[in-house]
Amino acid sequence: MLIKLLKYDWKYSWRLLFLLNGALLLFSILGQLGSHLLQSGNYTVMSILAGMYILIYTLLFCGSLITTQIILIARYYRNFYTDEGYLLHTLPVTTGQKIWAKFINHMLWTLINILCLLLSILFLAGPGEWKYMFQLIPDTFSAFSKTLGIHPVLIALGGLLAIVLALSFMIFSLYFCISIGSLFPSHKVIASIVTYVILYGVVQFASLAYSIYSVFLVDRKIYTVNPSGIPVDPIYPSPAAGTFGVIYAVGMFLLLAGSAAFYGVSYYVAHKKLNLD
Amino acid sequence: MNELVTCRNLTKRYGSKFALNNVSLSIESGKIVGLLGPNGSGKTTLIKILNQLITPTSGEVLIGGSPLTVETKAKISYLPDRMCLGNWMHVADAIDFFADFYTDFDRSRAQDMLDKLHIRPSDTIRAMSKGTKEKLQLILVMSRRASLYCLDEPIAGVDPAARDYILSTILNNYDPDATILISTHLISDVENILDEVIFIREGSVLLQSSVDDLRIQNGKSVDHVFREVFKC
Amino acid sequence: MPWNLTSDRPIYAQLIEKLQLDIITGHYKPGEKLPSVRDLASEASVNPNTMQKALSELERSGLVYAQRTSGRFITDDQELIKNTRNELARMQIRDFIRTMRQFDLDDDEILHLIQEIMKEEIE
Repeated sequence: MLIKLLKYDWKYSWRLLFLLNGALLLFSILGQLGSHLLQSGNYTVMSILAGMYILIYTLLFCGSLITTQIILIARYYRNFYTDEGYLLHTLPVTTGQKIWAKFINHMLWTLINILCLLLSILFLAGPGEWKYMFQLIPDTFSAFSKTLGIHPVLIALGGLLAIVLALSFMIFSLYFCISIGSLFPSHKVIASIVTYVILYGVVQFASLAYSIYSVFLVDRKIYTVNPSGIPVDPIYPSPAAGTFGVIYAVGMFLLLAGSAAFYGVSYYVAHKKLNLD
Repeated sequence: MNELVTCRNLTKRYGSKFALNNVSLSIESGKIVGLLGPNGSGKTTLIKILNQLITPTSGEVLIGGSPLTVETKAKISYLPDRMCLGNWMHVADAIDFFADFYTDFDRSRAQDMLDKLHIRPSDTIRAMSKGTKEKLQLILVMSRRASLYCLDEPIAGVDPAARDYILSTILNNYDPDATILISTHLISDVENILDEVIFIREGSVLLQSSVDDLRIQNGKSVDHVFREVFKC
Repeated sequence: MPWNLTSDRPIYAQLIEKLQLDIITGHYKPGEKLPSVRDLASEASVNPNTMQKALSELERSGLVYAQRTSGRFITDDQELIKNTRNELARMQIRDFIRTMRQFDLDDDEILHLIQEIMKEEIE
């Protein structure tokens, strides 16, 4: 049943999202080709064109990100809490399946969107830059690896986990806001937005607090200072590595717990507090 | 004959207003039952609760003796009082959707009825008239071999010829073991096909009786009795 | 003959009358197989349960009998059909005479009028 729901979620959302991301990629290729023209031609005209291009590119870049999210959240809201809910909620599927189908589709397209954003940067930069850009990846990983004393592959996996958990946290928080909004008898969408704003404020504050705390935790250990007060070269692996591990683990746990809490509320509202007009 | 739908002390409250007030009733299987009442009497609320689109404030609902679960959703075929298929859908999409999620969906039967109405699989819902949309939804709902059919105002807002079509579709697809619950305020059109009627007003059940008994006792049509009972 | 169903009397009673009429007038011949309950109900635009009830009643009176796998048939009993016809005719006549007497006609006048109209109806 979950697969079936997923199939239909994909079927009814892929086209628009594909166009959006495709447009971004095409435009970045256009930019790469156009950049060759920059050398020739009138300086002023080229500057104006380049400026316009950058403007449009930035709009497309940020726009694809925001629009992808809006399209997917709107799907959740429409399917769950408007007339389309008459169809969805009378299907012989569990509430969990309904939410997970939306989540998986959402996560999938968010990852595709991020991939397209990265690809668009690559395309815009042009093949000439690729060797340099791709070299950045192993360089970064080995730097991290040296500092933390952990195998690069583990770094990659850890990074991946962090991304997935962070995105889960974000997506479930959106579903949470919509679910809370649906509890209001009228102006559900506005209520959802207000919930989001409040939640965003709370999360930002909590993240800031956590970051500050982490810095304090680490600060003591990065640099070893001689009794004479002269800092010496960094030690590899850094003594801060262990602390970093703790910070990472706690951070991941918080993201996981937050995601679970948001999921729990969304589930409860859809299961026990449903009141379709 | 056993109890298909059981409601015990069912209440749904919105603030201070009671949409359903301590409703207790039972409906047997194998009957065509009319849920009759004026607008806002609680008919739609009751049906939505049976379909788990609204959670009751208190009270109990049983379908075939079991509480409301995912399984009871599979047993009920619901026709809402509004269009719930997406405007962008093609008829073929809607059929595939039903066939995919409901194992009791009879695709050939649905196709047959659609062919007779000259509705093509490639037609989009957006391009259909209101009457055609309603017929499409009805066909999809009645093509399922369910235990309980809940039809919420199936003939309101359509012309008399369409009403005849809708009523004959209901009769022709009727399974003697199933129950059809029809909520409507257009009584004279449907009373000939009803076994039983339930009168409901302002969230309370006024009476539940077989149509024959009502006619014998009153010497009048159900429509007539309704007008007397619900006189403004 | 169309199914003219009024809404102030139970449907099943009206269905019984209509079917009896069909049998008496020869629309359904003795021994003929009746359409299925579904088909009859569909034709009359009534609930199959109601049609079932009417048919059961006819089975009880003997005008119709059921064979388990093959369906329902009209009785071969010509005597029964004739008796039913006569019974229904008597009811109609009884109602008629009561009405005529309400018009304040005496029996001779009634018979005279009957013969007059019968002659007219032949033409």
